[in-house]
Amino acid sequence: MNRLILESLSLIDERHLADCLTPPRRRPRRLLPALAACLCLTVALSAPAWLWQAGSDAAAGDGAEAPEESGGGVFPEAETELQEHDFKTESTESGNGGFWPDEEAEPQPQEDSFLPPSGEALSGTAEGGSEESATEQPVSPRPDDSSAAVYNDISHTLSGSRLWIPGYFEETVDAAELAELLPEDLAALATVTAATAGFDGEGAPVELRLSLDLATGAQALLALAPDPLPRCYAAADDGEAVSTLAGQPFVLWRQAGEVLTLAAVGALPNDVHLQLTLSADSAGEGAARPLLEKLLTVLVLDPPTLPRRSGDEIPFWQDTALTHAEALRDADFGALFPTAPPDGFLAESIRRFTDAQHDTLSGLWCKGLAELSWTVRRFEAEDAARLVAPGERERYDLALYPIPRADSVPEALREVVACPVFEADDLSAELLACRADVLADKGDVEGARFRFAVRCGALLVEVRSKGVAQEWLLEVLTGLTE
Amino acid sequence: MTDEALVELFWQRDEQALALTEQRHGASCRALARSILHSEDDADECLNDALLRAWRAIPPERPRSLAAWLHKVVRNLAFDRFRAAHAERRGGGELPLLLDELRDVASPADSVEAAVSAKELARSIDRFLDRLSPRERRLFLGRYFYLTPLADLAGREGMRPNHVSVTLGRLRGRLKAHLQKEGFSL
Repeated sequence: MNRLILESLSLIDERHLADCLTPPRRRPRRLLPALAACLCLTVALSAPAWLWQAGSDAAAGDGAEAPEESGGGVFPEAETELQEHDFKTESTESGNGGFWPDEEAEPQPQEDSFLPPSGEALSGTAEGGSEESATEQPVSPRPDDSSAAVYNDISHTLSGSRLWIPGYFEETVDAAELAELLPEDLAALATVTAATAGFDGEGAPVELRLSLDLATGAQALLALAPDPLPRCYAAADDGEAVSTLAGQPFVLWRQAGEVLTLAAVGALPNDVHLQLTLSADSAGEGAARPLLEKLLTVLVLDPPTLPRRSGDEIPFWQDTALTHAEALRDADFGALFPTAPPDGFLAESIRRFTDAQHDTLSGLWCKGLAELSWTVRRFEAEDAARLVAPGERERYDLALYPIPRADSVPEALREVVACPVFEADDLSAELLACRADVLADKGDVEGARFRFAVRCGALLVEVRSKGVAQEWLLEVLTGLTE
Repeated sequence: MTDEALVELFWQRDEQALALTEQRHGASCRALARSILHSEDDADECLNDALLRAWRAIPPERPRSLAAWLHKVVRNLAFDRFRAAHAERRGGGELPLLLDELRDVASPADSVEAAVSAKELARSIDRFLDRLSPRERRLFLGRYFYLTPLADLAGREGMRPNHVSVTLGRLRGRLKAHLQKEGFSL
């Protein structure tokens, strides 16, 4: 029967599939409510005392101090809508019941308040929360080591997804461009201290990351992207909830500790996705919560746009698979590419890769578990720190450092001992022998492992090998550099 | 090119309709078939068969949504192939998982299966779907029509997989109650 149910779904009316064929819709924005909300915001920013601190009554236009335009039947439809936009803060009386949903319940956007009363955990201990919710594990993998929970390092969570964006590049966004992209009202709340934008190889925006200094002394990180942003996993310790601000649902976290963190993830009306993480002194939650709401409100009502690049603004990039013959013909780096791999080694990958940060010709050859990785690129300024002279044995001789090298290599020498750069003229059998790392790993290929680089004028050859004879490496390198 | 324009091409018996339809909907159809069959070749064949059916069926049919119409056809064809290829053998992927999930709705007994008309059941499920919110419908059909993995559904809806799972559990419970109420013996 269950298979019949599954199969009979093929016969359902097509109209039901309409929901699946279009992305989840945001609540439609109507002009009057939007106008009224803008008006509300303008008044709110100029008179925070009655709106942001007094709570919902003022925002809903329910009270003598409320401006006449925002209620009183001038825009009855807008007023109804505004009740949904009500940003309750300290004075909320609804408590946590129903706002921070227990973990078993599907999180539904809540209309009556945005953030929970300060000091209350978001799950488990919250009134209305269930026992199960307190013990539920966060969805995202979270390191056991709490010190690794760098909750506000958005770049860390994004980096994995960036690796596979062809032609990805980043740029610092200057103040003039930011002024065009960001809502004007943001300046009243925050100063942008750093702005970095990432683009794909066609110049389309991937993300815009902003560091913000807030007037209260708190800091915030704002990430904007055309696609949903990964959630910051660490703050899930205190649970999460979904709430609605000006009609837009946001997933919220709160993490208390020495530093208080409030975070929100969601989409803006123009379908730009955001992650906003606000960090403040733990004693300052009373100010932090409305501040987060204000920031979000500004962004919702006047959504920022993402920068875009075109034409010459896009750095040249390529990622091309080559044959060995093509690699040898490469005008930039082919001269330092080995003419043939060691006997029996088969090419796994030979690529020419260029982007804003890299320009390489690389080859990887394998023979069972043995492998040879060979990369040719330009010698960069930062490589100079790893240049070693034959006399500086402490900087490259692995025999001086027993395993585990994490204990034996002084911290200051770790980088250079891991991959020293030799001058081509210094290459010798004795030098390479110092780099031979003989490990007797059961089941692994026999033979030494090598990792080092050789500078040949303006170019650098990086070699990493396992199970390749030292004599072969020396012969090829000497032949090429001559 | 819009779906309406594509349907118009079918009606004009313009063979370009096939290539353009594949261009526009081929990827989603292949993905749907692949999620049932786990074979690129079979998925390609399902798509080709579906395009052929479209050519034969339109006209006289004029689908309101060409995408939905094609997805239904592809899904049917994929299930036919799945049955033929696997008989009683349980394969990998989402399908066995879904069958397990639906055990709490109905028994897997063949005798019951034989007694119920799939069409009748589909009409009843139509009525059930009518009563769901758009999000519930997306989740239910995303999972049981499109065989979408939970994690993907969660990502699409901005929910956590656990919440998607709980919501689907409740929907299955509601479906069971609905089917029982409509006289299906489960």
